[in-house]
Order: sequence, then structure tokens, then C-alpha cells
Amino acid sequence: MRTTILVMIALTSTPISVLASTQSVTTLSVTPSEITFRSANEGIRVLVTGATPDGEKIDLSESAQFEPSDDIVKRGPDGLLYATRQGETKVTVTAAGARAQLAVHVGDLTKPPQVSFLRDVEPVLNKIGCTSGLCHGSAKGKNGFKLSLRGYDPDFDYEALLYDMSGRRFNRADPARSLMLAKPTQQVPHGGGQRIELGSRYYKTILSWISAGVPFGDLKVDRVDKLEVLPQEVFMQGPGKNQQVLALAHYSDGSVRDVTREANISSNTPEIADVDANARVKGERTGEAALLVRYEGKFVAVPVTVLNPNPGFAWANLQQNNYIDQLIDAKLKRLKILPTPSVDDAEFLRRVSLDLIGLPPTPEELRAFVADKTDSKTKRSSAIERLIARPEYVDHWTLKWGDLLQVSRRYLGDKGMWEFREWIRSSIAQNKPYDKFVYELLTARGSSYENPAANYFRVTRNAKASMEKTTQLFMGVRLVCTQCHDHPFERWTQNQYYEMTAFFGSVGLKPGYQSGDEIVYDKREDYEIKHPKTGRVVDAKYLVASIGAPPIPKTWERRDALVEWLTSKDNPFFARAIANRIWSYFLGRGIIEPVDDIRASNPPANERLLDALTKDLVDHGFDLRHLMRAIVNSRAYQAGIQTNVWNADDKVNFSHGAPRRLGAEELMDALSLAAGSRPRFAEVPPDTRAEEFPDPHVGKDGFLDVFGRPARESSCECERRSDISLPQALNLVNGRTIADAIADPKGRVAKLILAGLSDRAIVEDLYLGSLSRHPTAKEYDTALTYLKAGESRAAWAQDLLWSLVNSKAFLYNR
Amino acid sequence: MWRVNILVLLFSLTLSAASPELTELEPRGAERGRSLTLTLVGTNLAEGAQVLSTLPATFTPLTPPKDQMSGGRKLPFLVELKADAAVGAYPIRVQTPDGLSNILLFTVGAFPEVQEEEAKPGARENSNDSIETAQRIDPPVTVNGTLDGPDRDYYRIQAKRGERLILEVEARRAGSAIDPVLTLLDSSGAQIMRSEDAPGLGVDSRIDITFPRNGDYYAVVHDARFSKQKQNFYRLKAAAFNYADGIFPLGGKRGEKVDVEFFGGSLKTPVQATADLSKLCPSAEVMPVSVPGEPGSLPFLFVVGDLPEKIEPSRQTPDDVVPLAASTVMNGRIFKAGEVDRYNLAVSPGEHWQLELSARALGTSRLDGVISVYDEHGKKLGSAGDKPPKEDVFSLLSAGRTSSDPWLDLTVPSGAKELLVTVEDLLGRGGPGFGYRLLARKQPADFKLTVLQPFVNVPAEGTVSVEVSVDRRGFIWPIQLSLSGLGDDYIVGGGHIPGEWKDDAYSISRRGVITITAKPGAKAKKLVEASIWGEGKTEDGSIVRRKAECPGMITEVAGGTGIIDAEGRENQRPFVAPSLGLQLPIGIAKVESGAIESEAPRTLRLVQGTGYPLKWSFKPRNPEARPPETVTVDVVSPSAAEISVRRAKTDKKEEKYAEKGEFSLMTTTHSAPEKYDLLMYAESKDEMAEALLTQPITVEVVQGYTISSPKSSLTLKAGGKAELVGAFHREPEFASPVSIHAEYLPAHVTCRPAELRPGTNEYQLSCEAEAVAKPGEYEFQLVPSSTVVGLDKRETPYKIAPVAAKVIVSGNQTAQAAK
Repeated sequence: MRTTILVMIALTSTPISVLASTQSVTTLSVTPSEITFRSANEGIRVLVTGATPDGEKIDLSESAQFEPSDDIVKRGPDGLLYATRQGETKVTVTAAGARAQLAVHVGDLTKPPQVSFLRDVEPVLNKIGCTSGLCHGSAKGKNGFKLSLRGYDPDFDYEALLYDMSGRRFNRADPARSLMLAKPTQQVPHGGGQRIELGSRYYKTILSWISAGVPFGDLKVDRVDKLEVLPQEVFMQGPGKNQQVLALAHYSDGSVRDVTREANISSNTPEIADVDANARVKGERTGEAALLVRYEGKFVAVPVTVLNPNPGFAWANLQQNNYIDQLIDAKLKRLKILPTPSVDDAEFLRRVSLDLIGLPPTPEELRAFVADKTDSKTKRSSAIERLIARPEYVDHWTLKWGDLLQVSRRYLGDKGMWEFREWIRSSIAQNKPYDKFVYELLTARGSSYENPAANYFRVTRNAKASMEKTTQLFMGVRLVCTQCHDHPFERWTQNQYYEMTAFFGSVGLKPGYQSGDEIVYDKREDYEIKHPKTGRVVDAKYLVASIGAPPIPKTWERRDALVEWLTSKDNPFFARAIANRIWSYFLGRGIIEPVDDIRASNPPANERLLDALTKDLVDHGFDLRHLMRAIVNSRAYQAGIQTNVWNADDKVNFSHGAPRRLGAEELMDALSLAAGSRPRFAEVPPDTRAEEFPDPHVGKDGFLDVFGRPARESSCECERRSDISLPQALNLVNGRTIADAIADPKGRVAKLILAGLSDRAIVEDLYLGSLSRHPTAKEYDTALTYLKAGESRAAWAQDLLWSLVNSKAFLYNR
Repeated sequence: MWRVNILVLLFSLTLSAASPELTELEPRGAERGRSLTLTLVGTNLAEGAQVLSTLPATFTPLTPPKDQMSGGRKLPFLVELKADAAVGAYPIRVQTPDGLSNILLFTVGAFPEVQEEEAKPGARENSNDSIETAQRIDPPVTVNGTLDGPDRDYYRIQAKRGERLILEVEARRAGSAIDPVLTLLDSSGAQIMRSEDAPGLGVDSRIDITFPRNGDYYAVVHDARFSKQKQNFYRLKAAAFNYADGIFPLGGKRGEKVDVEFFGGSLKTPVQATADLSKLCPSAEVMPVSVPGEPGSLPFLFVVGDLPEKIEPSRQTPDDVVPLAASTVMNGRIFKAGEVDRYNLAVSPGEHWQLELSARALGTSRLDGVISVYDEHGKKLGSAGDKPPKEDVFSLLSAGRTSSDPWLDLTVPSGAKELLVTVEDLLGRGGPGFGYRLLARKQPADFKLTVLQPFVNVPAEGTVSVEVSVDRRGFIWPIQLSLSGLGDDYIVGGGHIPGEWKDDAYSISRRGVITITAKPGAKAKKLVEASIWGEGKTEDGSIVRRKAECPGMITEVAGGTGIIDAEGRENQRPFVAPSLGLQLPIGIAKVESGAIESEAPRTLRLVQGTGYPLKWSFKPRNPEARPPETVTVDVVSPSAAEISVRRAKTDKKEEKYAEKGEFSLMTTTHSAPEKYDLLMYAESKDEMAEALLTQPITVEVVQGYTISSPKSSLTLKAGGKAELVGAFHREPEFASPVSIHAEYLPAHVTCRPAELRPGTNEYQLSCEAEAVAKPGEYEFQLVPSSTVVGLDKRETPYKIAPVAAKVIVSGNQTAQAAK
């Protein structure tokens, strides 16, 4: 069925909130304000929105009354409008005491509908699931019949329908007896069960199409040009509210069709906002979610906000340390979320030390910091500068980049691994601008020993893997699935996958002149990438256009052009991806989460904040230290983990701190610091901290791996586990690592006892050394009471330390 | 440093347990002109051992330490270095009545020497592993230190602002397995410089610093992989001296004086010098050359060749083409980034040429060379160095794969009179240090031989094997190894390297084994210098004869590369020093406890598909001798599929400590008719550790019989008869009847099969043409078939390739007349 809605949509950018339908409104509007029917079967839905006296907009689509002026149009039981005969008319819409008019135009309904595969049939196949990954859209198809996944390749699907089984899917003489109708209606056995009802709207569409001679349609006219979703943003005053959503497909000939029923609409957080089969969004609980609306390869993300309905919200101005706080506060205020104030100095120092250098402060550092009478903001900024200047800062971030770049002797050999790590370490030590760092990595050539950056390609080893890793790591874009088909939730296509891969086709590897070395070089022959479908050579092409992108050479040197494009300040992904990633390291989650899955259908929690961070990074020459300074100096970073009634449900807007379990290496180093000992590993020199370990081979299968150290088998952040498991709990309680550390003859406990310190001083030192704070009066009492119950002071001190390192306050960065 | 792509496989096995072995020199080096006490440390170092060294010094024996543990483990000498002893690394080995020892290198340096405190006997472990415990050193000085696994040695240097100091680590160049990393820290511990593989030093390191301020600085030395090595020493030099990091040309012709240029490093301008190659011993492959007047660094190793040499002439424009003379080494250089050197080579169609480029692998060039060849129309005929090397199975077993300099083998296409040869850097780089040696030779397919061990000890009255790697360069035919210079005291056996039949074996490397057996009464103290040769014949009858390169010394480098390739190889390549004055030194070692004797003849002829029961027994030479733990048979063959060996039975249930036993040798009907060497060796790993080797058994796999093409074409008149006769040869070992029948005969022509019994040397098929046979000339095949009886007594079909024959059918005159 081909239907066009002529829409004169005067959309307001004001979000529509949802209030009780009984509430009176001052004005009522209908969207679209004018509709046109072109065929008898066409159903059109309109949104009815009321404005309350205080300016809020509420959805009244469900409760609104529709009174047509005559019988040209009628309202169906499904709430949609249907035309009955040709003519012009008006429909009066009333709701909540207000009234509006809807203009209706109906064309000649006696003309047979023009049906095409592109515009009418493929959407039906997608909607009823024929092209899904579980059905004929799977890699190998189903029962010998293969369609493209989610119909991303209509040409292929059309050919498959027409020519598979020698075209026996259609009965041209008696279209109703076509296999294509008999199967989904279960008139003949169908593994996928009944997908459509006999005589249903979809049945009629397919029948009309077969009757019309199975026309394919015109690619220029019948493909969706743009998908529009109304409203553009859903804003609910609280849980329990509903909002109707409309999906409108725009075509290049100017026609518009209501495709709400065929569109695939889902929520990324159904526990906050769910959507039903009729495209009605329901607020479930306070928070934010996003609707993803997909139709024929186009998609739109619609943000949904469900406000806290409790009365009495009053915004309280907290100190704003920089632009980050301003942007976060702006959104919190709008969402009626009250942020948590900053932590005290001791908590701040532990948090920022762990985040910047991977180590908690020593008791001495902590005492000095707390005792410093300088104003807190200045004092904290100075501490940040001191931490950034420390060698442990370099080790900490070397470890992070070691994970991402998969520094491992498994791929690089011993020497390659050490050299690559040293290159990363040196880059961080000299605060190499991030764009330069990436440029050097991706343009690296030569011996991996002489130019360790070349090790990047020793891990990936082939063009596809290099492209996938590069786009995911440095752009936050996942293209993996587009190797086989167009991206299901994004605009990326299979062609783009190979166009991007073509940049890496010439990267060659050959053994070097030393054992374990390899030389990365430019292949001069056989470097072109071919498309698996066509077998034709694919020309390299940037994923997206950006200002000043260099022309792409036809030769093997095209990798250099790619890296210039990638690392340009105008690349829409590059700086944004790293800004988001760095943010996530300090706040526990990205503004876009996961950090390496940036796509339109995964919108940022705070777009303006991400934009500002990105701009700040670019304006400061891709100086990551600058960005880190900005983040850790913000009040948002320094916020406590305690919540209030207004921010308890907030998990994405950074209104309060989020406790994070220490990483495996952080935990081991914190334990070493607390116990005053250090485990020794055969592969590294004595006194090497866990954060200095070059790769996961050191101490393999031990404490670090139990606590989620990544094996560096991918560059995904997800590889580092921060969960809590039973083996971890057992290790903490009974493990040798903790037991040996506590009982180390040169450890903290032994030293405290041998130094003859008082019981109280021992308690204080153990608290400071492990939890980076003084004990409370109650904690003093508990500890000293426990001492009296035993005989050995040393055993008591060991027990106390054991209990402290087993506490959440030690295991988490809070 | 000299390069060998291969590693010793059975080297340790061929070392006699009683032969002397050097494990340590105390000290590792000395300042030139100084006398010193040098203690050789090792095992089986009998008093009276003779030191063999090219070190310009006298060695006066001192009394060894008396303590019980030192017996045969330490030999002290008073060493008086000659005043003019040049800075460099010199080989030291000993010879005792029990044989030759391995070589260790002793380094003569230019600065006073001290020992790392931590390396002294009884020192505390990790005693200089931090800034706080760093050992103070006062330049100029050379520190002799050691690294033990994850060890970092810290040295404190007091420096003044503006003072210049060179810190250089000699390790791999001095024969150590350590791959040193050198870092320099300031007084706060912050790293200010780091050196891993310094230009011109191989894997060794160098830092050239002008100190920015007064104070303490720390030089830190550690192994690049924190690996644990037997040869774990290093020599850290701290002094102000000048050095070059490159030399050009990279080599010259033996007997000539060659102008050379040193450049780079701390030299403000290049320094000219002369390399005198006129007084070298005939076997020298490299000559050490130093920057005149600058003894701080070890010398460069300058290649010595025997072919004429040329220096690349200067070009007017980058596109100028220079003539490349055949069999003349062209010494060229890629001076600028992106430069491509072009040469034209006069050729004739059908000629076979080999192009060889030497650069990076020599250790004195930074060029990752690519050679390409184009015809007169610019069509690329081939290139090398611009892709991974072809897979290489045997020579690289247990050695991490590494690239070699490129070589190219090509046949000149028809019509070509001149080829364009280009040389460039794979990465498009260039500079003074990007020298090369280009050689074009008109010759048939070639091979290179490399001996895989630096010396040989032959047990008195016993046998030892010497492994040789054959790097095939298009030469796919069998190669026979031989030894020259041995004299009459030895018997040489084996050395058969079968040909290759696979197309992809074009550049494959194989190993061959040649054995040396000491005759009774062979002179124990006599040191023999031998050479190994290989010879083979190409398809067109050309003889190719090549001498094997011999390593001077081999230092094993422990640990893996961490990367396991498709063949499961992950080991480090050993350090291999070039020939250090002798070809392949051979000595006589102690007599072994017994011998393994085989009842099989030295040469066995086996028809394809047959086998042989190989019996052996242990013959003790003294009453205490115990039978070996295991006895094994190794087939020196490219493919185990050619011959298989299975253990048949022993006189005990368990295989260990048997006094006799039996193996089954089996061939298949498809085993290539070649000569294969079988080595039987017995091993004991207990306190009587020993490896006993038999003389090789050469198995000649033969085809059971052959049939020749008929003496003449079969001529038949339509309706007539004729006999088809040809020669038949049967190997004496093959007794089965053979049937020959004709296939693909023209219509109406038949031949009765011939049945051939032993004693027949001719086959005869009676053929007949019917009257309707169509006149003409036809080709057909004579297909022989037979059976063969294997070791299991079973008969299996045995077929050899058919032979082509021709039949001429002429018309029936009677019939024609009737028409």
C-alpha cells in the first residue's frame, strides 16, 4: 500500500510532558494538523497534545475524541483514522476541555494501490520477523532460504524471493495460493510458525504485490529518505505516564507515510521507560532512557525523561569549580536531581590518588594533606599537580594503555612487549599529545624493536582486525558487525566496512633480523581489499567526511591519509571518544556508555558536557593531562557517594560519586602499601609494583587474574572485570596473598610492634595505611576492646589489618 | 655480527661428556697492555691443557686451586698482553687429551677494568639493584658485571655540568647471551636517556650524554627480556671517547688494501682509513676494523670476499643507471630517503642468474634491502625483500624465525638482453649507514651450506656427527657432503642429502649429517682443521660445489620469543660469531664406554616397498660399562614418509638399558629412489651421561626394475603381426614377476602382455593388427605391474611409471590391390 501523508508539521521543540488526562488544558494541538489519504487500507494516527495553564504539554492522544464532519473519514477501533470515500473534510478533536481541528484530504480510493517491494513488502518482512537473525536473516538463512539481516539488502532479498526455488514462491495465476502467502499464514507447514493472519493488512499488502506482478520499485523514490519520530523528546513528570509516539517515513518524492506500526521501537532502559506494541511509551520509574526507532535502515533515537514526581524539590546551589559543574548542574536542575556535596579532604586524597596514580596515599601524605590549612579547592588542585608529576602516574596510565593496546608477550614476544610498553610509558611521561600518540602508532613502520609503536599492527595482524580495532579504540565506533551486513542500529554499512579496511590493506608483516622481531612495512603488491559480495576492489573512503581531510592516495600510502583524517581536530569522533573514555576512568562510567560504542542510538547522558570536554581537549592540543585536571578538579568528580531523595535513582548524570572496586593491580598495590610488603614475581625485578607489570603473563593465574586483570585479548574496556565473585571473596578471606602480606616479617605490623608503638598509635597507623583515614572513636574502641580479649599484640594487629583490608572501604574507591 | 639462520640441533649430543668445556673467564676482559691472571672456568679442564687463542699474549700456567670442588674446574694462567694488542674480542679455547673445548671471547679494552661488586663471589643478591644501593664507578672505567634474570644493576656516577660521557655496554658482541638495555637516571631517579639496540652495535647499547648539571647520575643495566642466561655477563664502559656508528664500504677483497670511511656517532666528519686485507688467513671471512686512534669501541667487522669489488659510482641524477658486472661485488649505499639505486645487467635469454644483496644481516648496515628486476619494457620480473621469506622448515627448527638479506633467482626471458636491477630500502629510508653489497652471478641454481657447530670432538675409536644446513636457492637435486683436510686418521660417512620433489621446496632449507669416525690409533693431540663441501648435479648436468661456512663460536640464548609460529618454533636464535681463525677444528676425545654395533651393512639397497630388520647390540669397552638408556634411529631425510623406522623388540620388557634390540626399516612403494643416511645413537643421561653414535647406514632406495622404451617403433601391417622388444633391468634384490601390457593401442591392434621372470633382461610383446586396422602412426603406453613383499611378508601391488611407445600401422596390400 502506498500512502502519503502530507504533513505540515509545526513542531515545537518544547518537550511534551505527560499529566493526568483529567487535568484541564488551555490549548489543544494535533500533529499532523492535516492528513491525506491515498488508499482505502491506509490508517493514520495523530498525536493530540494539550498545554496546561503553566505551559506544560501533555499527551492526550489516547483519551481524545474525534468527531468527523461527515462520513469521509472514520476512526477505527485501533484509534487510527481511515478514509471511506474521496473528498475533503475536517475532524474535530476534543480533549481535557479543549478543542482542535484536523484537516483531511482523501484521494481517489477506487484506484488500485501501487505496491512495491521496496516501499511496502520489505517493511512487512522486517516487521513480522522474516529477516531477523533468528529466522531467514541469519548468516546461513533458515531451511535453505536466506534473506539479508533486517532487510539491509533489498536487492538480495528480492532476488532471493524471485529466483530461489526457481521462482516457485509465487503463483502468478492465483496469487492467493502463492507459497509466499501460504507459508507465513501457516496454510502449509512453516518452521517459523504463523506470522500473519489470513486477510490481515499485511496479507493484503503481499497479495496486492503479487497480483501486481511483484514489482521491485524505484530505488530513487521508494527508499526511505528520512525517518522522523514525534515527539522528538519525551518528558514525563513522573512514573506511570504514557506518551504516544509516531514514526513518519519521508520519501524523496516528498511523500510521507505513517509507519508507526511497521517501525521497530525499543527502549534502551525498559525499567525506566518501556514501549508497547502500539508505540506507547510508559514511564516506569524516575530516570532517563532512550527509544530507538528503526525503519528500513533508518533510525532515530528519542530521549525519554521520567522526573521524580515527589513535591518539594528545591535546587540548592553548590560550589561550581569549573565548566563541568556548570553543565552537570544545568541538567540536574532540569531533571529535578539534587547533587551530593564534595567529600572531605581525606576521602578526596584517597580517591584522586587511586584514580591518578593507582595507589592510595601513605599515612604520612594523608596526615600532611589533612593538616594543611590552605583552602580546600587550592589544596586539592595542588595535590592533583603533585600526583600528576609522580612516576606512578606514568605507570598507572601505562597500564591502562597497555590494556587497550594489548601489550602482551603472547602477541609481541618478550622483547617486543617490553619495548612497546616502554614506548607507551615514554609517551605518557613526556605527555605526548594524544593526537600525536595515535598518529605515531598508526603510521608506524619498521622493526618493532626499533620503532615499538609498530607493535600495534603485530597484535591485529590483518587489515580487517586493524580497522576494527582502530575504529573502536580511537573513534568509539564498532564496525565489527558490518563485516557481514549493514549495522542494525547505526548508519554504518557493509560497504563502509571495506572502504575503511582498504586503508589498512597494505600493512605487511615480515620477520625481523632478531629473534621475535617483526617488520611492519607497506606491501607494494596485493594490498587491495575486495568486497566479498562483488569481488571488486573497494576504494578506500573515510567513514565520515570531515573538514580538511586529505585526499586519499591510490597507492599503498593511504594509511597516512587515514591517520591524518582520524587525528584531526575536526574528526567528529576522535577527540569525543577519548574525552568520554577519560571521563569514564574518573567517574566510573562514560557520558556515553559503553565508551567504545558511540552511535546515534546510544546518546550521551549529557551532550553539552561531552561537547565541552571534547572542545576543551582539542583547544588544549589534545593534552590529556589537562583534561584529567579539569575533571578531577570539578566538584562533580569530588562528590560523595551518599545519595539524597532526589538523586538516589540517578545513575547516569553524575549527581553523586559511584564506588568502584579497585582494579586488580590497584588492589595488590594497595594491599602492599597497607601491609608494608610486596610480593615477588620471577619475571620482573624485585620491588616492582603490580601496576608496573608489563603484561598479564606476570603472576599469571594468581591474585591479579582472580580480581579481573584483563588477559589483553581485546582492546575492549569490558575485558577488565570489576565484579565481585566468590573466588575473590575466598581469596580475600583465606588467600595466601593477603595472609603473607599481613604476616610479612618486614611488613607494617611487624614494624609497628617492633617499634614499640602504643596500641592507639598502631590502630591509627593501620587505619591510615589501609583506609587512608583516621579511625572513628567507635572504631578505636572496638579495636582496643578486641586487643584486650587476646594475648598477643602482634596477632591482634594482624587481625585488625586483615579485617581492614577485607572491608568495602578498602576494596573500593569511594 | 655474523649471521646464521640456524641453530644447533644435535650439537650437545655430539659433545663428549669428558671433553673440556669452558663456562666462564675470570675476568672477561682486560685493559690493553696490562698483564693479568686469567682463570678459565669450566669442566674437564685437565692440568696441562693447552690454550688456543689468537689473543696477542703469552699464557703461563699457574697452579690450580687445591680445593676439592675445583678439580678440573679452574685453570689459572698468567697472561702477558702484548703492548700492541688491539682492542677487540679474542677467542680462547683449550685442548686437553680429551678433546677441544668451546670458545669463549676475551675482550681487550682501552680503559681500566673493575668488577661489579654484586658479581663477586659471596656478594649479596640484588645488592646494587636500586638507586640507594648503586655501585659507584669513576670513569674512565670498564665494569665487568653479570645479570641474573630479573636483575637491574645500578651504577652511580658523579658528574659535572657540561661533562661528556659515553656509556656503552658490550654484551652480545663479546659473546654474552645478554641483550642489554642501558638507561641513565638523574639524581631524582627520573629517566633521562635510554638505549636498547644502538646503531652499529647490534643488540648492545650506548648512551652519549653531556651532563646538564652537577650531581649524581645512575647508569642502569638490565636484560631486555629479564631473561636468565648461562653466559650472562656484560661490560659497561664509562669514558669519554669518540666512536662511529657506521662504516662504508661494508667489505673488500682478500689480499687488497681497501679505503674505508667511518661516520656517524660522535664523529663530526667522516674519518678515512685503510683496511688491510693483504695479510689475512685464507679462511677469514671478516676482519675487525676500528676508527683510527679511537679504541673506545670494539671494531666493526668488515666482510672479506674473494670476488672483485667495485664501489658504486656517483650518479648525475637519481635516475642514472650504472652497469652491474657479473660476479663482481658492487658496494653501494642508499644515501637519501626514498632513493632507488639502479643498475643494468647484460644478459642473454635463457640464462640463469642469482642476485644477492648483503646489508642488514651483516650488522654494519641499516638497510632492509629490496632488490627488484625489470625487463627492458619496465615489466617487473621479480623482487625479493619486500615480502615475508618463504617458509623454511628444517634449518629453522627450534630457532625463532628471522629475515635474511634478500636474494633472487631468475631465468632471463626470451628476447631480453639487458635487465634493470634496483636496490632500495623496504621502508624508504636512507643515509650514510644504508650501505650494501650487491652481487649478480650467472650460474645455475645454487645452495648454501652452513655447519651447525663450531668444532668437533671425535671420541677415540668412536663416531661423531656433524650437522650441516643446506639453504637451497633453486637447487632441488641431491647433494653429497664431503670433508677435506682430515688426513688418514678418520673415516667419513653419510652426507647424503636427498633431492626435493616439491615445487615449494625451491628455497627450502634442509639439514644433512656427515659422520667422522676416528680410526684406532688416531693421534689424540693433533688438531685438524677440516672443511665441509657439498656437491650436486643439476638436471642439465652442471656440477655445483660449495664450501660450508663454519661458525667461530655459538652462544646459546635461553628463553623463547614468546611467539609460537605455525611450526611451533619459539626459541631465540643463538649468537653466532664468525669464523675465528679456523675452519672446522677437529680433535680426538676420550674413548667411550662402549659401542653400538649394527649387523646391517654400511650400505643397504632396498627396493621400494620393502624393509629391513635392523639389529643392534651394545659392545662394552670396559667391565663397568652399562648399556645405554635408549637407542634411537634418526633418518636424515627431508620427509619421514620416505623411510620409517619402528622399534621392533628388545631383550627386555622395558626398553631401557637393553643390550641388544631391533628396529624395522620400512620403505613404501612411493619412497623416492634416493640415498638416505640412518644414524643410530644411544644415550645415557645418568651419571655416566654419554651419547654413542654408530657410523651411518646409507639406505639406497631403488626402483625394483626399469623398462626402457622399445628399441624401435612397432611396425604392423594391417592383418599382420610383429614383436615389440625392449630392454628390461631388474635390481638383484627384486625377485617378483613383472607383467607388461600395452594400453591405449589403436583400434584393432592388440599386444599380448609380457611376463618377465628373474634372469630376463628383455621384454617382448607379440602384437597383431587386424585387417581393418586403420593405417597410421599411433602412440601408446607400456604399463608394467608387479607386486612387492614388505617386511610384514605381505604382497602389495607395485607399479612404476609407464613407458611411451609408438606403433606404425601400414595398409594391407592385398586388400588394397583388391580394391
